[in-house]
Amino acid sequence: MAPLQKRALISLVVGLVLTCVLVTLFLVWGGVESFANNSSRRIVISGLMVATLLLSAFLGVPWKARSAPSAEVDERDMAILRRAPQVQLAAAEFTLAGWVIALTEYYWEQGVIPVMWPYLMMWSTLIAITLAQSVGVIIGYWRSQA
Amino acid sequence: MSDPVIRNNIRRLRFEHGEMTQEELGRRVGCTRQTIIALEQAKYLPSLELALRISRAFGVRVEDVFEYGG
Repeated sequence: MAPLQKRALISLVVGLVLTCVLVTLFLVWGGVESFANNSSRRIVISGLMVATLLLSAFLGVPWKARSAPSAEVDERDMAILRRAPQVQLAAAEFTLAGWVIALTEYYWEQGVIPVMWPYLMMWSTLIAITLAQSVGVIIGYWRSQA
Repeated sequence: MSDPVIRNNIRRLRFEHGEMTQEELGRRVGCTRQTIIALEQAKYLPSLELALRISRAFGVRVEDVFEYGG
């Protein structure tokens, strides 16, 4: 297994576990109502979202590899890395489309969407984009070995 | 599945050069062992620079390493 492939796999597993913890905590703590009305819980949830984002990004692609090949990341790894944004773009599109369709349909009668939703949309989209990079890298290796 | 248009003789050349390992070739040309494996299986087409470095590592012309079968 190539070093970049290993890192992408670890990053994806850690990111998914943290996302599951985050969603569970969010739901156990009262979901949207609590997020909107309890500022301390909103801060904790937001802090965990930032931590998930940073940890997944840190564990994923080595920062140096983003600019030039190195001992750990060669030209084939770079080629795979350059194609990963296609998966990130798709993840962003599907996440945003899913949120917008769900919220619009749910709040259609009221005519307004509560203010906390765009906040949750932003964090979830950022996490989806970060995890999608690892997915893109894993798909790239899988395709080049198939 | 159709045969790859560009074939290579990396595996044969490695054995003709003292059974050079994939790791050793990768170290000489500046890429990982996984990339050498992908090249030998024709799953990855190298850049011109890497192709030239591989031919130089074997001391042969690039046409002796890579063949266009189109």
